[in-house]
Amino acid sequence: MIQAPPTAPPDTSLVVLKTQNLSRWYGQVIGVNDLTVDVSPGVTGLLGLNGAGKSTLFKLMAGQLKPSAGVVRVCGHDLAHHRGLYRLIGFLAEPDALYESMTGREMLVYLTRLQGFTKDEANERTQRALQRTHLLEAADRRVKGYSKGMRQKIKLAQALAHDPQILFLDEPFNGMDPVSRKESMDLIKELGAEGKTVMVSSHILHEVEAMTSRILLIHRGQILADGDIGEIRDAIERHPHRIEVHCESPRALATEFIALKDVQGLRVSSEHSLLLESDLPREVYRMLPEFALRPEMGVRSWTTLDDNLKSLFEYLVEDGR
Amino acid sequence: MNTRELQQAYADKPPVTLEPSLTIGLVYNAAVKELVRRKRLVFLGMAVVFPLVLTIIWRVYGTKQISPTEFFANIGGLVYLKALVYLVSLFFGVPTIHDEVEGRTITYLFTRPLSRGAVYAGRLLAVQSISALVLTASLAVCFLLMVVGNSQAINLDFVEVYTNYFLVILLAVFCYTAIFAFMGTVFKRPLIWGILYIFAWESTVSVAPMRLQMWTLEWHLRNLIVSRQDVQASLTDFVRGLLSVEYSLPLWGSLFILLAVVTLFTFLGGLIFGRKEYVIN
Repeated sequence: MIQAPPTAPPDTSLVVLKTQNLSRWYGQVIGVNDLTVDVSPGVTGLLGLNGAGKSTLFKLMAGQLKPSAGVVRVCGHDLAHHRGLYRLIGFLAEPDALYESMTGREMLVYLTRLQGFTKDEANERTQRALQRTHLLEAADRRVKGYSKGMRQKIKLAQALAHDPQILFLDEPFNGMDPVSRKESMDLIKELGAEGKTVMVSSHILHEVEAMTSRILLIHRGQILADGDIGEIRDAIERHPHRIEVHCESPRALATEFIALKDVQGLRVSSEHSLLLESDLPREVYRMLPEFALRPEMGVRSWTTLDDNLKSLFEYLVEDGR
Repeated sequence: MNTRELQQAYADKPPVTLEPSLTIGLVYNAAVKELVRRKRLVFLGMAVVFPLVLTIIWRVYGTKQISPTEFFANIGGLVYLKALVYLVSLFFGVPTIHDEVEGRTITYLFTRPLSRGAVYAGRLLAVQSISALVLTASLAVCFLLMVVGNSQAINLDFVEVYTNYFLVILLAVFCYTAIFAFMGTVFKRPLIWGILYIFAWESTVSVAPMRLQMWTLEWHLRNLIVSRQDVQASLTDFVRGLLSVEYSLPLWGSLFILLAVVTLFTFLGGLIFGRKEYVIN
C-alpha cells in the first residue's frame, strides 16, 4: 500500500470520521476487509472499480450496514449507538430510489423535517438546496417524471438540504449530462471549501481529479492507496507506459523510435498501428506531434493505453506484491 | 458552527434523536399521502363496493323477506368480517414497511436522526387509518342505502347491531393490520405468509374442535358480536354445529385479548424493524 501525505483540505488536523479495522463479509464474500481510515474536512475521492467495495464502505460509514468487525466513529462516537449523529450526515446512496408519488419539493421538505427542522425552516432549506442543485424549475413536478440526471440531483439535494458537516456521495454523477455533471462537481468543490467533510465515490479517475487531489483507492475491499493523487500518479510513472500509435507506416515509425533510449519496447500490433513501451513517455509524447507533421509517416492518432483506472489498479497491486 | 466547533460541542454529548411523537406525526402524514395516491386504494375501493351492491339488491328485492337487522348482521359477519377485513388489512398491512424496503427508500429514513420504532409506529398508524377509513366509508354508505327512504329500518335493534359490527370491524382492522405489518417486517414473502395465515389458520382453526378455535382472532371478534343469532348459516357455522361444542369467554376477555394482540404485534414489529439490517442494493 502506498502512503502519501494528504493534500491540504480546509482543516486537516481534525479527524471527523474514523474507521478502525473495519470489515464486512457477505457470507463467504468480502465486502470490506480490515480497513482503517481517517477522514478530514475537505473533499476526499473514493476511487475503485465496480465491485471494489465503495458502496459497502459508504453503507458502513453511514451506518446502513453493521460491521462484521471493527468500528466507525463520527466525531468520536459510534454511529450505531448515537442515531442523533445523523443530524451531521448527508447520504446520497447509489440505488435509484425516490418517493415517486411526491413532488421534488414535497420529498425534500419531508426529509428535511425529519432532520428536526420546523416547517418554515424546512421550506427555506429546501428552496436553497433546490437552487444549489439547479432543480428549481422541476421542483413542483412529481418525481416519477424526472429524468435520470434530475433524479440524481434531487438525491444530492436531500443529502445537503439540512446543511450536514459530513456528506457521503455514492456515484453522484451517474446518469447526469455533462452540464449537470460540471455543476454538481462545482457544488461538491464548494462544499469542500466551506469546510464540510465530503466523501465522493467514482470509478472514473478524471471525475475525482476534477474535484480533489485527495483520494482513497479501494480494491477488493482494501485501501490500496491513501493520499495525494499526484503521489499515486508518480507511482504509476515507475511503470512503463504503453502508447498505441495509429499510422500508415508503423514500420517506418518504429525505425524512428528505435533509436530513442527511453523506449523499451516496440511492436507492430497491426497493419496500421504501432505499440510502444516507455519509461519516460514525456519524450515520446514530445516527438509524436513532430512525426504527425511528416506525411510519409501518416500518423492519424495515438492512445495512451494505461491512462485508466484499471491499469492504475494493476500497477498498484503489482507494487504491493 | 464550523466542523471544529461542532466536534467540540458533541465531544461529550452527541446530538439526540427526534422526539418520537414528532417522528410519528411526520411519517404518518407522509405515509397517508403516499397511500392515498396508490393504485392499491382504487382496487380496494372497488372491493368495498361489493356489499353496497348487495344492499341495493336487498333494497330492491329483499326488504320484505329479510329484516334490516338480519340483513346487516349477515353482511357484517359474512362480507365484511370474513372477507373485506382480511383483504383490506392484508393489502395495506403487509406493505407497511415492505414498500419502503422494496422501493429502497428506507435508506432515507435510516439516515435521519429518528427512532426506528417511531418510524414503524407512524407508518402502521397511517396504514390502520386508511384501512379503517376505506371500510368505515363503505359501512357508512351501506347504512345510508339501508335507511334513506326506509323508515322501518331505523329501530333500536338495527342501530345496536350496526354499531356493534362497526366497532368490531374497526377493531378487526387494527388487529389484522398489526399482524400483517409484522409479517411484512419479518418475512421475505409476507403476502404468501399473510394468505397462509388467513386460510390455514384463521379460517381453518376457527372451526376446529375443542378450545383450539379460541386461538384465532376470528373467534374473539365473533365473541364481541352480541347478535350472533341473526347470522345465517355459513360453512363455519355448519361445521361448528356438527361438532356442537361451544366455548365461551366473557366479552371483556376477548376485547382484552384482541387489544393485547395489537399491542404485542406492534411492539414486536417495531422492535424487529429497529434491529434488523436491511441490505439495500
